[in-house]
Amino acid sequence: MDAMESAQQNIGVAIPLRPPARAGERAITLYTPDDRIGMGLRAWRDMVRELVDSRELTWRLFLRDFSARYRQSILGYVWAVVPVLLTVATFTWLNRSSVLAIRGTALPYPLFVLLGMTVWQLFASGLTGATQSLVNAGSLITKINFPRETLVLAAFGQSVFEFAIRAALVAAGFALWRIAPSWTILLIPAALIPLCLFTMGLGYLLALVNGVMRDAGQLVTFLLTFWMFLTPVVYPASARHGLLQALNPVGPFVTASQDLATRHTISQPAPYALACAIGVAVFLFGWRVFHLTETRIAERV
Amino acid sequence: MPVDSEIVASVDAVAKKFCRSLKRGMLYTTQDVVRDTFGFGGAAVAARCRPGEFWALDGVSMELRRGECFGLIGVNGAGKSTLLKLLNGIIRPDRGRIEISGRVGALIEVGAGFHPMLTGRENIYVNGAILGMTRRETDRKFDEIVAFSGLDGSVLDAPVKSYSSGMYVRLGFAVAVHTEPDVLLVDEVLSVGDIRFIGQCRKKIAELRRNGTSMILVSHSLSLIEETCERAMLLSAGRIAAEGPARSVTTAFRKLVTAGELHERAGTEPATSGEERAGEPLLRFVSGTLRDVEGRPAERLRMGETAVLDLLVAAPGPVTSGYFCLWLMRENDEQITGVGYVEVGRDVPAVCAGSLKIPFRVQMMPGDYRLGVTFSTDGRYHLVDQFEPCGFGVEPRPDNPFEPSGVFELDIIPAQTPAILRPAPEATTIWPPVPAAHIGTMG
Repeated sequence: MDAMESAQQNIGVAIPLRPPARAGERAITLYTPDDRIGMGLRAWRDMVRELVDSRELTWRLFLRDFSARYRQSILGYVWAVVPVLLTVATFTWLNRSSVLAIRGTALPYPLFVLLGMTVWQLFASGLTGATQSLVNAGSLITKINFPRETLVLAAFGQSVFEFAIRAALVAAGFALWRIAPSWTILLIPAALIPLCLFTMGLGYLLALVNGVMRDAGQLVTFLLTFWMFLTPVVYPASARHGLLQALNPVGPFVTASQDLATRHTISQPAPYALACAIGVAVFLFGWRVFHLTETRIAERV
Repeated sequence: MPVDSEIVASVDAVAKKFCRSLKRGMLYTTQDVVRDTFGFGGAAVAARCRPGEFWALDGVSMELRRGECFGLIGVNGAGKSTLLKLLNGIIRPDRGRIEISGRVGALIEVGAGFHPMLTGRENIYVNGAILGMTRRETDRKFDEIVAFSGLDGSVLDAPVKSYSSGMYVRLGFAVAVHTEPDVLLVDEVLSVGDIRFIGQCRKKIAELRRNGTSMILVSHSLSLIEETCERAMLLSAGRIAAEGPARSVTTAFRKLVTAGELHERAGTEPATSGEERAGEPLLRFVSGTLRDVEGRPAERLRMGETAVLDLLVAAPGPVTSGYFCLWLMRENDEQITGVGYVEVGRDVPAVCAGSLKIPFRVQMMPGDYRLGVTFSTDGRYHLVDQFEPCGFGVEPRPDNPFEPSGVFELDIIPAQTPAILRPAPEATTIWPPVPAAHIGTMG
């Protein structure tokens, strides 16, 4: 203040003072080589605060991707369901023509595949979107400083939105077959929250890896195809594929959804609980690694 | 401009290394990511260069005070943009520390984050959010942003991919300057957009600074730096080459560039031509200096005064015919004139080895220019030699009450002015008004 006053006297002109209210708000930012190394618990606090502070930005980016995505296309949002419907049609045909012999599903086979695919796609398209999110953002990442977590979350948000559209398709399916689902079908979204965490956690990690090595993007698309066939999406889970299912954290979520739609219970609670734990752990790990290393990636995208 | 003693940004011995090789970079980034995640192998790895890495910035320190404008200059690749990115927190330094208080606004790439499919209106909200504005803030400033960008309603509701590059930049700039930053980082974005918009930007920047915003400005336009900045820093290969009052730093930069050109010239042979192939060249430029009217070497000339291009030429014997052509370029390589010439045999009888002085009137508007000279044997540019020695700046005339703008000063001949303004003898009233140019010919 003294300096200001003496400056005013020196030049004899009234200098408009900045309102003190704003001056008080200014936060000090510090950048050092290792300000994101070994922060221990403080990192978690920063991460949560950043997540809360950037919720509006995440929402904006989600709206941006969402409204831009189908704008220059005739079918628009129909594209959210076309791949699923085609998959359902293909497997139904394969099963009818006895190429496959899948029997004993609790629901009519097309409806069974539709429900399975809806859950699977929440994971698969979410992971693909998240993996590509940093690279797709391009100059945004290299030229502007903002929480990049929002890009991954917004990309995953697209998948959640598509899930909602497909869920409407599932509801239509139940109406078409005149089957009354169990009321527990309404719990499916809640039961899938750990799957969402798993997807986001893996998405954080793969987005980073893809920023450094573009191989990740290629690999994900490729591996997801095989992963789907190893997951009980188009066939019911069975005790015979024990080990394979135990190793697959996505499978229990698909099975649990099918259970909740038809019975009032989750038939295999132990694998489901394990998958939930894995989901939370992967999310926390991915989130933290992403937060600690995002500025490294900005150099390489 | 109110410059406070309060320091809003301090950069302390900062260094940053990069790797140009993509493949090596993948390995190094992986190493760095692992180190950052698990926190081992700390500072030792960061402080030295691995094979293929180089220091893009090395030991740079600076301080920015409240309301101050600080210029960053240097040739391409000197580290200017890297410093801005470090200040913005996009990348982390490998050594040193940076401390900034308040909101940092960056115009490092205008319109980064615009989605081509979305309309201008939607992009204002998205970009506002990316730059840290809340929805309410954007709502409040929306009309102001639109007015500043100068885009009308129908354009605003069209996807930005249909925008011209100028419209794109205008909208991007409009959003960024309305984020009310405490520190604004500007990277060579004022050079795009039309002349009216550049004027508008400068006004807005002045307004922000009156409100206490500090600025760091990267520009290749030395005149802009001199006009806007109190202090400046010259970066050269990642190190500070000069620092201090803006004008002294731009002078240092001009010296550096001129020295570089002379150095380059020393390493290359002069332009070849028919005459030279036959034996000794007819004439060769050795050096050139720009002097003011009193004969002192000058890097800054004043509008309206006379300057002298003092050339040292080498020639095996007297040259009795040919043309010395002077050409003038703006710093953005726009040629202003190429037809100022001296005809040997008419204007001067002959040229021998030694000094040749070519005087000219400084009619250019304030700004930065380069003056070059060629010698050719006839008007069809049979080039014997050429030389482009002189970068210089032009300052406004002290007695001119008007703000100079444009390219050159229209030289109105004062002795004839009264005659032109005298009304035609027969006419008592002139209606419809006759243009002034016609009055002269009628009288």
